[in-house]
Amino acid sequence: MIRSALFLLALTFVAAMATHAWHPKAPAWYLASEPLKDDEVDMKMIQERWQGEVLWIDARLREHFDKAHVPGALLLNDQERDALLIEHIEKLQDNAKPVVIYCDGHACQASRKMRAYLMETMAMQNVWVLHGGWPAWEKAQGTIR
Amino acid sequence: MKFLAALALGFLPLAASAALRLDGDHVEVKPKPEDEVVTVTFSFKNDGDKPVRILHLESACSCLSATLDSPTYAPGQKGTGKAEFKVGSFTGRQEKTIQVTTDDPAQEEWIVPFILDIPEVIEIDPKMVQWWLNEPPLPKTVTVKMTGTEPMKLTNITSTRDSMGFAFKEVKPGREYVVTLTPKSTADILIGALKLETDSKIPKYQRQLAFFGIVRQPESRKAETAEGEKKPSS
Repeated sequence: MIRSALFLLALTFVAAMATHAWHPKAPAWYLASEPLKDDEVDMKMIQERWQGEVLWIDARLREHFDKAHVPGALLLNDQERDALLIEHIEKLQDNAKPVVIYCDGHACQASRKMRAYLMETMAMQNVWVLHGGWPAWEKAQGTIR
Repeated sequence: MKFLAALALGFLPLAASAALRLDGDHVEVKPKPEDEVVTVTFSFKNDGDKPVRILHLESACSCLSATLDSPTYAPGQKGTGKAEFKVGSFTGRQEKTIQVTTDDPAQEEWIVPFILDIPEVIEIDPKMVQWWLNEPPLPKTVTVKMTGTEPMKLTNITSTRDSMGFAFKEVKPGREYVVTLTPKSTADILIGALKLETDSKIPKYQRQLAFFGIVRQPESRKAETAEGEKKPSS
């Protein structure tokens, strides 16, 4: 009886390992220590490199931005990009600080897409994506309402 | 032998065929230039041999959302989905997906692909005009084409930088304009934009940006320029 139970347990474990190995959306084993991509910075680096002195860009939906955002962040999302760029162009063109863009979390691509757009279309440099997005900032600091 | 049989049974769900299938390869969405939001319906069928329960729907883009007409689909049952796309600033061909999570181990995620074809009503070429730092401040041009069904006039231009001179002329009334930009100097790095105003009836096309910049030449490009090859875009 015990032998059968152990066998089934082992079989389940093997199946779970195989599913994790093959599933395209399997989460990282240790998400917290997931390595940074070349275009990413994390909250610690922002403090160490620039003492937190960056221009924040929020690439999330307006309704998420309206609920809470990084203090001083500019809303610049894909959906309203052209209109928002017209609104923010003076601030962006005069900005001398590093730019850090965030979106909803690990899986979202909005900040990376906006980074590519700003670099290609406006020749902006020193533009980064926040590793972990908005939840990473929330975890590190707190929010404004 | 027993072990192998059990192992095969354990992995059987992974090898089983998918159940929910879309009619066609993708869902096509063709908004009009004035559309802010467009809705489209799509049909699909449960091709499997057991009921499929819908657990969750998620879009890779916040611009796209969808609903299905039933929480469960019996074998052979046809279904209809309704998708809503917020057009916003998107133009051209866009590929988006909706991920449908089901209780079927053989098809935990069903991906519904959408292809959106959003007409471009105004074309600005190039989108950014560049001068290298300390390059002679010669004029460069931008072509503005009104490619929609209705003509649109370029009515006014302002610059976000006083140091960038500009002028525009009509090439084809309501259809094509040429904007000439001339920097006063290229001694300092700068980025900026021209704000173009049109008489479009569609609010989102009434104001557009054409970017310009004086940028440091990358080392790789310096070598090319030294050989008499490429210069920055005009």
